[in-house]
Amino acid sequence: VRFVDEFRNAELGARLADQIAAVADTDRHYKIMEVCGGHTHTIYRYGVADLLPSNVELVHGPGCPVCVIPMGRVDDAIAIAKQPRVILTCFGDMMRVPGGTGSLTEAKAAGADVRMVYSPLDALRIAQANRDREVVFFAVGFETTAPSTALTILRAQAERVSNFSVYSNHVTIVPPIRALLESPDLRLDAFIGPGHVCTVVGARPFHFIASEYGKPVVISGFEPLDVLQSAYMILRQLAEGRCEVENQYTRVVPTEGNAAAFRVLADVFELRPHFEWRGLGFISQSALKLSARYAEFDAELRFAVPGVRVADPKACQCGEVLKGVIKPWECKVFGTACTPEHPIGTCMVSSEGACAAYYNFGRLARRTRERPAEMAS
Amino acid sequence: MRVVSVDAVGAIAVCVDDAARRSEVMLALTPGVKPGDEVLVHAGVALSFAPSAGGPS
Repeated sequence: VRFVDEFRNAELGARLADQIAAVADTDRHYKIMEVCGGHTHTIYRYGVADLLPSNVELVHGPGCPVCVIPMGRVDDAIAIAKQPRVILTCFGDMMRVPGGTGSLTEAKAAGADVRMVYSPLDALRIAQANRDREVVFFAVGFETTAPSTALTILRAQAERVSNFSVYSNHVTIVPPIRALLESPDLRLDAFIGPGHVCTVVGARPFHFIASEYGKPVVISGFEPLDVLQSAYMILRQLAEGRCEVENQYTRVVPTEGNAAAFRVLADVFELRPHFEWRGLGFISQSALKLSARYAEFDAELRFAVPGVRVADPKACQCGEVLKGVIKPWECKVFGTACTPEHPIGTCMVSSEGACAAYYNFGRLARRTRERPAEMAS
Repeated sequence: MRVVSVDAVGAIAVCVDDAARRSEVMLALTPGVKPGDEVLVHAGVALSFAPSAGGPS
């Protein structure tokens, strides 16, 4: 497949691994955070970490859009879904995220009309086909996904679809990165930047990481060779004493981003003063709500929601996983009480969640790696 | 995904993925997309595209 096969070439991967080993300082331990859950998935699925020297550690960041939604917002979505004549639509991952009162899947089993869609446009089509119902799209995602929601709202307005609204939980990536950089319990050396977010926002929003915090950033694609090359580019920057924002994903990411996307986002959304992130707490100006111009499509104005903050289960350590403070397997309930079939935390739900990615792909490789040492001891 | 067809105003394309699944994709962020082009699609909107392998690069 074009743009895929050439970035999964094993021979090139081995060569890149040799170059990484050559440039890494053996006396130093490197901690590189991949911000995006898509990268986490690639790292575990293709065993990228196994090709890195043991002193180059990949730390998983908060870039899984499903994982960062707090339980209270899930409860609000369930409350909307239970209202008469409502069809609540959402991405498949979101249906299984536990709230304080269960998940949307459980609400559906109890009689609520909850439907999985692949895009907000699918939700709009459902609204057009069900004019006697209220169709709500439970919108989650970073700057990559928000333009799709915005364009769908514009289309709903143009086509006068009055029974369609959006429950916006869109978030922005820079504020949580800044929060992590200010966190005293995490020392990072560099970032693998979120490639698909950057197709929208470009490279400029990440310059503060280099200029204010002195840490390199390499915007990366999502195939295994992309991630390996990005790790190499980061280590080369560190070896040469450079600290820049570089773009490895040039085949997709324009440095300046997508001007049309900026315009539509600025038109349809405005920043919330603050928003709760699962595990990270409230972060100022880190989420998007519909602007006053599109209030008629705002589900939070159309429906009454509880709006209650719900604490995460005590056993769940998604917060520490999302901040990169612990690895998935270090969580007390990982793989026992919390599995993809019966998730307690959001990180175990989404394929981009660090726990699910590690559970599905990484744990066997790690066990194989560690077994010789266990046998020798 | 590969673009199969584009509507008259260039707003929505029908695209097909590697598993031959078809879906509607909004093109507002990628003007100039034509049938045969490859598009990077996220949540039903094309974020980037490459001309068809047989077309200009």
